[in-house]
Amino acid sequence: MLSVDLLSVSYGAIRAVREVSLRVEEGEIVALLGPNGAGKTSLISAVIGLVPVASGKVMLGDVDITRKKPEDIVRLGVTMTPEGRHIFGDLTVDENLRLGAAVRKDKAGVKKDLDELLAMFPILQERYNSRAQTLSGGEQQQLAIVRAMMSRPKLLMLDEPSLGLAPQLVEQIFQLISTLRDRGVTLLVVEQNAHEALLFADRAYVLSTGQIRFEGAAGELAGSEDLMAHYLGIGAETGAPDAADAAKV
Amino acid sequence: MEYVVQQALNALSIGGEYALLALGLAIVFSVMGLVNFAHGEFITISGYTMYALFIFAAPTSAWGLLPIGILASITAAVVFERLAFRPIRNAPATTGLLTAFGLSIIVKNFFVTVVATRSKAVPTPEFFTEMITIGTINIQVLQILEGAVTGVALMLLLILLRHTNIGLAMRAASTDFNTVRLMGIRANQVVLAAFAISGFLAGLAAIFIIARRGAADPFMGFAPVLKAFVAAVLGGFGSLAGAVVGGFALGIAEVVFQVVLPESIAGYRDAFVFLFVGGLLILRPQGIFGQSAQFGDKEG
Amino acid sequence: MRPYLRSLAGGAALAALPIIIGVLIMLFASGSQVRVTNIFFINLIVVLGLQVTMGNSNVANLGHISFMGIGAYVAGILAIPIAIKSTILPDAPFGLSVVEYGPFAATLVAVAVTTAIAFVTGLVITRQSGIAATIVTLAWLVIVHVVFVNWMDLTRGPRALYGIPLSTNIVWLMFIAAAVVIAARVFRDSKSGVQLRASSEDLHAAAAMGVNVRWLRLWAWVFSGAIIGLGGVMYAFLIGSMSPKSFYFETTFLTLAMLILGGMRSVSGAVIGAIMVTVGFEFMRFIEGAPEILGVQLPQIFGLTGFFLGGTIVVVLALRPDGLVGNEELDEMIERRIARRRMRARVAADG
Ligand SMILES: Nc1ncnc2c1ncn2[C@@H]1O[C@H](COP(=O)(O)OP(=O)(O)OP(=O)(O)O)[C@@H](O)[C@H]1O
Ligand SMILES: [Mg+2]
Repeated sequence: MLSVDLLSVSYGAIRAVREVSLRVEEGEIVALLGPNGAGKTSLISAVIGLVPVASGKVMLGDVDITRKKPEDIVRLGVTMTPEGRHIFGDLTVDENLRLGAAVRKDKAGVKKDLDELLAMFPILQERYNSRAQTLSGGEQQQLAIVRAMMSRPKLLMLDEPSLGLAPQLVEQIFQLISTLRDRGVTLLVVEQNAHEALLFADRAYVLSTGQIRFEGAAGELAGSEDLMAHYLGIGAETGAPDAADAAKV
Repeated sequence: MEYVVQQALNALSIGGEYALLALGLAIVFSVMGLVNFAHGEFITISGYTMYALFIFAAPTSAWGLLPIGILASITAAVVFERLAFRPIRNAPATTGLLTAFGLSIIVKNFFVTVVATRSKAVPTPEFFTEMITIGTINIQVLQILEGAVTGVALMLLLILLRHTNIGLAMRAASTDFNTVRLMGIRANQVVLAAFAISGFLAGLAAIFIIARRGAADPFMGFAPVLKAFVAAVLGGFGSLAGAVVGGFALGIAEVVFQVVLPESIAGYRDAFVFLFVGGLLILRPQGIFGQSAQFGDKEG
Repeated sequence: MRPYLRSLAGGAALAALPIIIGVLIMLFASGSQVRVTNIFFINLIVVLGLQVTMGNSNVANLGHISFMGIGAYVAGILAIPIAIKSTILPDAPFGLSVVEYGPFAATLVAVAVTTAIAFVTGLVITRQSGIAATIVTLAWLVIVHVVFVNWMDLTRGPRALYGIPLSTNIVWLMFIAAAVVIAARVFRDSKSGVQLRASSEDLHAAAAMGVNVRWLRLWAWVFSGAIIGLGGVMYAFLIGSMSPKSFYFETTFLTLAMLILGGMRSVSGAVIGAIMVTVGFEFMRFIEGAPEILGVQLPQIFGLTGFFLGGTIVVVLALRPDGLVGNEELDEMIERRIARRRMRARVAADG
């Protein structure tokens, strides 16, 4: 469905993503892991057109979306929830969700999706007319995901959906992610919570200092203490070598 | 009593005019961070378009000029956006502000060059200047119209901002333009809509300004828009509600100074009004509806 | 070299430019060219004053010409001989109609008054964030203009104030402009200047580092007001007459265009911009006056100079937002280039 070919992203002299190639097949959940500053956000922002692609190619099916504008890419059925819940704080929950469905013409379908999603997230139903700013962090994250779902994307990219959430809520969010897959959505999930993410993902990529360091089945990564320790600094006492590298980028 | 009512109406109609202009400034600013110093030129262009139509098409009734005046203002806003502001959309706020300032110099001098520095008469419907008597109070139709039109325009705008996708997008864009684009909404359309609305509101104000002066000149847009800017700062720059409240507050302040200042220093009215606003801003630098946390936001 | 001396040297090198221009004009030019150059020096002083606030704090200032007006009026009113004053300003307040100052005393008082007014207005303006501050500066310009036009007893209102003894000339102007170049440059590189520039890039970070941004902006604003006030004084002593119109939008546009064309972030930019806009402006004025070129009589085109100024601002900002010179001073640029060349030579020699 999505194939990224030798993609690079630069901010002036900083090369945040270096010739990364990656594929997401239809119906998959793919986890994109890596330490802070690895280039995860830069990578998916480049895919959706929010930051310029320095070189490389991004294909959605057989459509080249490399240098398209975000609004056009979204209209092709890809969307993304930005890191740190960018909900529209001054707008109500209702208005946020209406904007989520702004590109859709099928009013009946929108209504049906809205009802279904609100049934899944009763809290949003409850706070339907409150300003989104007044929601708690977890509620805002739910709102961001539901809002993205309202455009009925074929591919949804989530940037750290569990960021800043209590463990129990993290669980809930990942539960939700698998529900989304059941609804036919393909997912690319950026995560710091490697363990949890790998429980739900089919495959995983590990990014560090802008380069892919590992790709393979989620189980393979999760099952190998070595891999986890080496690439994600999990379980090893000495910490993360790549995270230290990344800080220097 | 009559005098009080008369002056209150005065304040309302002047305030309404400032509110329309300030709102246009605030919408463009909140959506794209541009301080449009060329906003007054929408009024000027509207005035000269009506003048040109009057000279060349010689319409039998002045009513026909009005929609054209509004249309001209909208068109000017959209063209400015496309030609001058789009190339610098991501530039720092200071760059945008100075570009707008430069643009306003160009437009003024365009009219100096191709028309004249002196003002040109532009007719508006005679109905505007008729007087209506309610009880013992005489009111000019124009004043009532100004209040009413401002009210209706504000209402329409509220509906637009609350109930249409583009309106929601404009409100959302004021804090997070990128995420609005992630909703599949075209950035250009949001900006265009903001400019079109801003031009429309300026067009309405232009009609009233022209009706009162009866003429167009190259510099006619400056004074009202400066007032609108001050009103917007008073209300809290970028806040839509602030623009409206600031506009009316300034209108009231102006009328109050007009009334209380003795004849000998009446010429200082605008200086007093501005100093008064300056004093208020010492007490509350962020304006009535501004958030103090915004200090430094959207700056270059 | 110590940084202070370095910036003094850089400023001195740049200050040579107005001196060279002045000397060349004195040696070779005609009377009308001398007049243009005199005005150029005054505009240069004003542009440098503008650069001190706008360039360092990156907050657009549209009210600077008010200080030029205040300096000019105060100096003018003080210096007009009592005999003339009794006919044109018989009712001047504060007993001014019987006061007559020499040029030095008038200059001192005028600059002091301007500085004091700049301080008071600065207290309000520096409390505003950038954009609101810009609008307040514009409102300030209008306030001062309204006062000039309405305070008949003091300024003669919209009519010209005349009779000011002509007490300056190209030599004075040239040296004052050169001194202001150095002053602006030293300010830019001073601790306050550096902090102010850093804060204009990131207000919050600067505040977090304990830099009092408001105080810095106030200091720059007052210093700028003093420089521009001095420019106004020189205007009064050069022309000998003035009216409120002399200190309103035309001069505002002109000096802004100069600063933007050269690049407001550096003093070199202010100087280069002032030179280039003066040349362009004079050329446009020549065309505007319906000259005969190669036997062809051009039509009279009003508003051409305004077009030129507005066009300069818009085009420069669209194509080269940092102006011709950009963020670095000319001497810094040259030095860096030399250093790089040396480095390259060394690398080549090593390899
Ligand atoms: N707008 C920007 N300008 C300059 N550098 C940037 C910008 N955005 C990101 N970077 C740099 O690019 C590198 C990658 O950043 P990115 O946000 O993609 O990392 P990330 O993997 O998402 O990290 P995190 O897990 O902390 O969110 C970092 O070194 C970062 O400092
Ligand atoms: Mg990230």
